[in-house]
Amino acid sequence: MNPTVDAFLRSWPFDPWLLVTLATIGAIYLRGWIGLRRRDPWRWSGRELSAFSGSLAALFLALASPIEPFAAFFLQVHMVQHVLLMMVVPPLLWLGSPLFPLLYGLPIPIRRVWVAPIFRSRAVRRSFGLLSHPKVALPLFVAASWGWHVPAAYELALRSPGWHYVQHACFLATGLLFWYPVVRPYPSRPSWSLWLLLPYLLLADLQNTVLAALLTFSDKLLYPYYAAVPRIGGVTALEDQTTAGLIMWVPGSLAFLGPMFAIGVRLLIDGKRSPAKRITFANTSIRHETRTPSRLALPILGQPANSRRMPPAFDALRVPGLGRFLQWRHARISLQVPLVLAAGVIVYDGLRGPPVGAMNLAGVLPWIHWRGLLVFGMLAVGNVFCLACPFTLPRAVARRWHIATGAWPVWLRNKWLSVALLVLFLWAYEVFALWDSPWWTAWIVLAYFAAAFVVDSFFQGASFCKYVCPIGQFNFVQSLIAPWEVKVREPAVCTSCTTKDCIRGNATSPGCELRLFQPRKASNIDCTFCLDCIHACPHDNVGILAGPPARELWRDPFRSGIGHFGRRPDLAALCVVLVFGAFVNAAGMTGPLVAMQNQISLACGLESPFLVTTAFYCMALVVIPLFFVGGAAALSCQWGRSIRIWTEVATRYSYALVPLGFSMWLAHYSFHFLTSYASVIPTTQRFAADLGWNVLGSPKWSRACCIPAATWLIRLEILCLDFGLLLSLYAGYRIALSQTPRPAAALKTVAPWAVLILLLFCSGIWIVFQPMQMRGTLTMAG
Amino acid sequence: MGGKFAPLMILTAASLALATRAHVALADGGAVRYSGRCGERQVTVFTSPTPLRAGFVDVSVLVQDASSGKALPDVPVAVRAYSIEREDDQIHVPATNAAATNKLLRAAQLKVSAGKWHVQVAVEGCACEPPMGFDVDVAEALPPWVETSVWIGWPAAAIALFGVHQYLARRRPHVVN
Repeated sequence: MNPTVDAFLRSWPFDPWLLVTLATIGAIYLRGWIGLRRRDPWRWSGRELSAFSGSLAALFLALASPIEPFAAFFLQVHMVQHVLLMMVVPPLLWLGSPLFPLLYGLPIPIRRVWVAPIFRSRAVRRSFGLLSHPKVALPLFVAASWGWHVPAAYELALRSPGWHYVQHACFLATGLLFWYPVVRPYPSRPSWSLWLLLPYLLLADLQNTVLAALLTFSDKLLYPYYAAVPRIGGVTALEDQTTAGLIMWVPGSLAFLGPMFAIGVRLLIDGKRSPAKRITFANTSIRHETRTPSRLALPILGQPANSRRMPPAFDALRVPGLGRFLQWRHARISLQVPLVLAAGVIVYDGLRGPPVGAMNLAGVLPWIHWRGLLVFGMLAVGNVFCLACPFTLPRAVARRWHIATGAWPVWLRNKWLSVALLVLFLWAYEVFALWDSPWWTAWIVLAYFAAAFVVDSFFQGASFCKYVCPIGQFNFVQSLIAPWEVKVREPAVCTSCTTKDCIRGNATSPGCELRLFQPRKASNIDCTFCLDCIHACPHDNVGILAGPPARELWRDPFRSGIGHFGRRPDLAALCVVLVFGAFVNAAGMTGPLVAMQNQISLACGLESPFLVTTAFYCMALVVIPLFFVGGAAALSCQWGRSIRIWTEVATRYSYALVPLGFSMWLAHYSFHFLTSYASVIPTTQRFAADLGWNVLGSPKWSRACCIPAATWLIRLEILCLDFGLLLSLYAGYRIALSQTPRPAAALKTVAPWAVLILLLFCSGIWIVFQPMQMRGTLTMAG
Repeated sequence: MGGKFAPLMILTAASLALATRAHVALADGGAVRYSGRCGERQVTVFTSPTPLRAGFVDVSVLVQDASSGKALPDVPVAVRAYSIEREDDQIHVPATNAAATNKLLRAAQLKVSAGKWHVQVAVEGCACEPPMGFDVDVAEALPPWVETSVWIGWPAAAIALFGVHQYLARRRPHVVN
């Protein structure tokens, strides 16, 4: 095969963003098309689906096929790219009648709450009506074609990636506008005559022919860029230009004349049925064409959100295989046992293995892998770690013989103890460099087992999980934004239920040990995903249901086992500590902060930075949060003219900070996981070799050495923070709206919190850009 | 006509615009830095991005048969870069076909610091005197927040859109929010 052709066929740019975008649009369309086809198979045939898929495929070909890299060398290839963008993608897209399938394919809340107001906007509809009118669409199309083929503009696009993008966007946008009146996608009801399209297409073809002829017959190279790049295969730049002109001429003319011929034939055959009210441009009134009805007659949007029964939420227990497994009585134990074994390995290696964190499973597994997987699991599912928690397995086994009877002290039935333990842990993590001490890590794991066993041996229920466990509290708070929740499927079934087995338990399964009564349970707070309520429910009415993430942050109903969020300052304090803890924990490993602490220690004549670090953590986890949260609450009261006292306001709005806090944990832990995940390989090889198992080979310690953070990883971290920022701001706004229905007053009330959220976001961005200590990895390849 | 398609048009166009945006960063080749004949071969060297900045830069090499213009993508190529200001700052990497998006080329990624650099290209089978090479000025890297300004700043656009959405939703009280 000719090497140029061979190279062309192998030159596929990898473009994940394009793939994700096209796949998402395609999936939404397909979902909507399937739903509509069920309702009206005659209307929604494979023709629409084929056309829309074809448009996406053509777009992919234009931008992510060998056409893209070769366009820089050949004007003719570049011309193919532009023909695809202007004359293939837009008509195919409109032939797919995308309005209904794309709308119907969207999730109902997004469609009704987010998209409907935009669709109903008269200004937006008028603007589009104006732009898609033939009198405007044709000049725009011609202007884009001619304007971008002016040598100076074309050269600019060839030399600047940014302008190249603008050029492609112009071609695509004007192509979409131009082809809209030609295709008239369902359900549009054009009020102008089809006759109008004949001169419309003829004029388009005429201008295309003139432009193509200029390129084809010119004896001068119009775009000097192509003279500067090497000529391949003996094709001169002028020959290339001539071919490009022919590509524009012939396929371009076919694209215009084909539809013109089809429309002409249709008019001749079916002339009487066409709404021939106006024939020429001169008689057409844009004002008339763009006049729109006061209410948009789209049935998909016309239904108010509560007019139709919402479809049941997606239930993980209905997933074949997974649902069966989760409903199995021993599902939890089967997940706990591997983690108990892993904990055993960590303890053994931590006490007996090398004291270097990066070479020891106790330094690698908990501080790199477990933490990374914990936040990923939280984002994708929810509190999956508590479901598989190893620490509660021994006490669960012991309870077969010994039932605890003591009641947890009333004065400790809150989260204050957990708050104190969390602060203590975050401080100890930094001061004692726990990540670098396998020995300490092993003892922490052992202490965890012992504490869970002792507490739950004396006290009823899952007192350790609910009131003590810092990991559990972390999971409870972060899972407030998880997409899954253990909840009742049909509330009506619970109304008639007399057993209350979900909380009391029965002969086959204990009820909820965290005292969450399913019919009144809302949110993932205090839910360990233990599945006991699912097993205990006699009506099979508890599922693991998908729902909008973070919704519970701005709702404040009475919640079983919790009460109202707005009346739980202890829970709010837990949220605040975890939010500020996220930033402090990440900042603690940045170069500038470590250097600053060392400098202050030296300046104070201290041999170790212990005191300075302690003071820093006191400030960062207690004083600064109190100052900022208190200040925001006081300002919120003042600006919003609230009659509430500032502590109540602080309590309610603290939950709005949770998404941003989670995004910082996610950015931080995913950074460690994604840069250092391979460190487990040599560490496991070393562990196996120490036990005398040499089957895994000798460790290659270069794998445990820090990998430089890739550009995409920093962008991923920023993206996490972006989403956290938006969700926090939205949560704050919704909380404000729940307290005052007037948007202006709500904005004033939430403004101080928005400032606090922005400050935290900026500090997160600053942290991401700082040089990080690559904890848990070796600093030099061995 | 067309009014009801407006938002769809905007959404689709925005999505497709996002899609078209993505490929720009992956464009192969870049600016032509050197083109010359070496024996029976015509060698052209491209660099990207333009202008060159401290950090990773791409050096792509096209080797052709000088008489026929036929591309020779299988000929081994090595790229050597050294700082003109700091003699000990040297990089030597093979340019490979696998690293190039356009398989006519061979590409190498070099991590360079700011300053003046000399880049030399060695093509197997052709010894040139003087060696094929060129000088480049590598500018200081942009501050990270500038380089990632789009990533940091897009929430502002989302907030503005949300403001418009709320305004429209409030004007239509039947929309449940």
